[in-house]
Amino acid sequence: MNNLQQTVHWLLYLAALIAVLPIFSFLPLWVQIFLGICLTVGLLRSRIRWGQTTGRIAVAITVVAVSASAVQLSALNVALPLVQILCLLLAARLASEKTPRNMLQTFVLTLILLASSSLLTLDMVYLSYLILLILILSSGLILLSFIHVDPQIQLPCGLMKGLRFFLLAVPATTLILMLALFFILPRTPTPLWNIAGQESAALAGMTDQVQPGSFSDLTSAGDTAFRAEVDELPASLLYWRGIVLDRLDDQIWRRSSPQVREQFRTDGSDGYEYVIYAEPKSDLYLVTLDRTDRLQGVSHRAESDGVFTRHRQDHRRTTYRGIGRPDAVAVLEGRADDYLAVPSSISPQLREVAAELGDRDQAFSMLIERLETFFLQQQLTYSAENLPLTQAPLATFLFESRRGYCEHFASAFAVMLRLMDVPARLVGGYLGGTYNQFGKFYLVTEDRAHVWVEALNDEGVWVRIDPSRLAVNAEQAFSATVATHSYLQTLLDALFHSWTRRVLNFDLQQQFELFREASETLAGLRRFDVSMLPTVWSTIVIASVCMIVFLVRRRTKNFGLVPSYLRRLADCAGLEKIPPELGLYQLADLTGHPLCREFAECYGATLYRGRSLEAAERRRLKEIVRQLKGQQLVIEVALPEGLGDNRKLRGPFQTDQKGNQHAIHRS
Amino acid sequence: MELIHREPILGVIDTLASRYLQGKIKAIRTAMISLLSEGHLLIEDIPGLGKTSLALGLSATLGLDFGRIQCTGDLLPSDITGVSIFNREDNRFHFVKGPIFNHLLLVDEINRTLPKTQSALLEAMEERRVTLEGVTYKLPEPFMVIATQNPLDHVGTFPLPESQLDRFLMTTDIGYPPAALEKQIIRQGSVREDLSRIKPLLTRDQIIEARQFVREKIELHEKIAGYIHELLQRSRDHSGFINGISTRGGISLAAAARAQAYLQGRLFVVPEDVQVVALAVVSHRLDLRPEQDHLDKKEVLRLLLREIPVPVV
Repeated sequence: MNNLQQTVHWLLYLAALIAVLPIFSFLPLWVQIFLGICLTVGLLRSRIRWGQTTGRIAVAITVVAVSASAVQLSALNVALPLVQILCLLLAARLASEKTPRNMLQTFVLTLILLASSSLLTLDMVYLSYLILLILILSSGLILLSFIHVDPQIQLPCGLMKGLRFFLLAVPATTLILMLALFFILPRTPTPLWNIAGQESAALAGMTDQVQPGSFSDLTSAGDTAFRAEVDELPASLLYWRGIVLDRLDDQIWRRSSPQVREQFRTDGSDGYEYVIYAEPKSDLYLVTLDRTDRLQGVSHRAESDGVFTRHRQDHRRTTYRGIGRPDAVAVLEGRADDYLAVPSSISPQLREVAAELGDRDQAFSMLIERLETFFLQQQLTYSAENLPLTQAPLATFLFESRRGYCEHFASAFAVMLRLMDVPARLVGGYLGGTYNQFGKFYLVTEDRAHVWVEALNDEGVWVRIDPSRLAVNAEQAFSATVATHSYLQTLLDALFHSWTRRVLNFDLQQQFELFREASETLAGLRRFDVSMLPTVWSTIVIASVCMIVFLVRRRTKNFGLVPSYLRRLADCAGLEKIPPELGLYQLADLTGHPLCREFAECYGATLYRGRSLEAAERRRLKEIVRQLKGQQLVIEVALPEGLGDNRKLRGPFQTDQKGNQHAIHRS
Repeated sequence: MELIHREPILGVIDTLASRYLQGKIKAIRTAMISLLSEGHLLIEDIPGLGKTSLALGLSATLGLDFGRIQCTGDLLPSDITGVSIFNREDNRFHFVKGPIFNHLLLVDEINRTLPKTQSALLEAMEERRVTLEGVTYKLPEPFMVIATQNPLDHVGTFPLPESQLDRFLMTTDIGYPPAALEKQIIRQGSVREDLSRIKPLLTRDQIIEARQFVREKIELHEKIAGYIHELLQRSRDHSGFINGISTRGGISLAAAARAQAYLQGRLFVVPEDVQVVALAVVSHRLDLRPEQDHLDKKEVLRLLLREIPVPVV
């Protein structure tokens, strides 16, 4: 077992860990235990004796476990059994002997497992797992190719260094390529096989019917309802319209269909463009900024009262865009009778108060003012806890307990309006939102669900009234719901949003947009602009200067060394300059100094073989130049004396021979 | 990478230089470089200084066949290549190989024979084969000619034209040995007897492999090629020479520098290798202009080499 093999083994375990981690919590306990046992067996493998029978038993156990998982497979339940089978196979491979073939299979299994884990969860963390796995996998495969050739391979230090660069370069290239492919590969507008997110649909929050007094405690989760990308708006405009409830049956507000026709009039102002990224939910209603006349990006049906419904149930995150026009007005074109109906079961107490407050003979604004005054006089408290459950919730709310939440306020207000012959309806949706400065979007959670009232004024225009604001504690109640988010939370949420937006929701349409933008940019470049010319030219000049400096630096980085070496030698020998016809080896011979010999051999071996110096070599050569400082050298300038002199008994061959033996080892 | 067979080759040089052919180190090295770079050697010196001993010593230590031709004014090409003789029993001609079919051929006093014979020999050297009466005979491998030439002012010589001198890779001289050595030689007498008893230190296959290694594995970087080319160019521009060094001269220089690098234990050629072999490779290829005749050709060449900066960056 040498270093390289050990490294590959650790990479293998690391890859397995990364592949299993994202889905570990989804796995049943027995699979988790199986994984643990197999991992231990794999780690201890070299130390335990492994008989043939043991091997067969292990295979049998794996086959049984895989079949047990395969039995669970059905058309509705595909993902989990599939992932489970992959986990079991991976576990079996981890426990088996680490031959190159087995290791290759393990690597492939980890990749498939991580890919399949996207069937279960698509968290943002998945991206980091993917990048890590690619890093590990490509390095592992490269090292594996070495081990496959020679299991005992030992790499020299220099080669290891080059290999390390290679090990980083390959995954880096892979990642860049992956990024490019992410944008280019053709997408479908809808997923081909929708498995993820089936079970996640909102349970609390906005509902399609309102029945005040049906709960004693209203507990709602802080789950995200949607995110809305829009400029920061004043709080008074942040009403997110979801549903309009126009019929009161006994005590329950419902939605009737079809609705009376309305005409939507805009005053020509720009409005606020927004994009909504809605989380999956079970109802069909699309939330819009109050009020919006048109939506884009989702298949929907616009109803005349400003409610948008989807055509079909979709369990994915939905993205759509619209333009909110708070200044626009909706004018009722049909008869308003439906908005006046009050069930006979309504408490007589309400009827009396309504009669006192007035009827249709008075002006609309007058009536509203009176009603609001009445609400204020009643000293109503906004509360969502410990509410009485009674047969006549509205009467109880107004006259006895005087506590309730938005449904009580809105419902009571609307009923009173109707009793006063003012057409009214309830609007369900969301109020407010937390603005995320990083992502430039509003985060709206389910606990911001809200109900308010719309009343028809004398001109036949619907006017928004929020009776919950009439509560004595309205200020605290609403500010309490605006939970403050920490800096880190906000940042994380922005990250998550961009992950959803840029990666998960990246589809054909966004691809087209991307291509369109790119081609527009290109077309823009083609258009010649004289004013751009100086900029372009200066950019080119700066770039070329940088290039030249870079090239010169690269040249001199290696070779500035020789001039300094020659200067140093000339100093040492008391010469003005080393004659240019003397080569490095000849200088080494002439000086007879071991440092000069080393310089010549080290540098010559790179220069005359067309190789560039390695960092360590360059350091050593610089060190030699430093060490030569102050040395006394004698150089009798002469060229090599040919092939020897016959008059000498023995040439300088013996010394040559030794010196050059050294040279062979170095090169 | 290991320099194959370098140790035994150095051993040959060392053995010859220290025991048998003392005072001929330069000639021995030149001969070895010629052998390694697949060239031929021309020794320019007066008779009686040990040329034959050198060739005999080389052939004995290298374990190669040895042939000798003493060139005279009436030597014919067939005396070198061989002749076909009619065999009466077989009733057909039978080729009897001449001395050229040896690995190591000593051609003594090559400038004494007729140009016709000279050119036949030189063509065989270049082509490494002999064609006689329509049949081509390949010369043995390795094949090296060591020719000797008397200084030209001697009587009765046919000087080799430059075009033919170009075919020799290197030239060398032997010179008189130092006084002490010469006295010792005089006392001991000829070493011919000893030479005949030398055991080969190398096999023929090893020599072929070493030659191949030098040819194929020793690196000659572009910078060195540039350096050699600079030398060629300057010799052509030089006012003292009639012609510059030919391209074949450049090729020879590179080949010899490779062999020198190999002997020095390097896998690559450095400028010093070129400087070392330059005189031996180049001097016989150049002729001084008549008006510069009083100069020493080698000295002019040394000055030329000193003008050329070595590529160090």
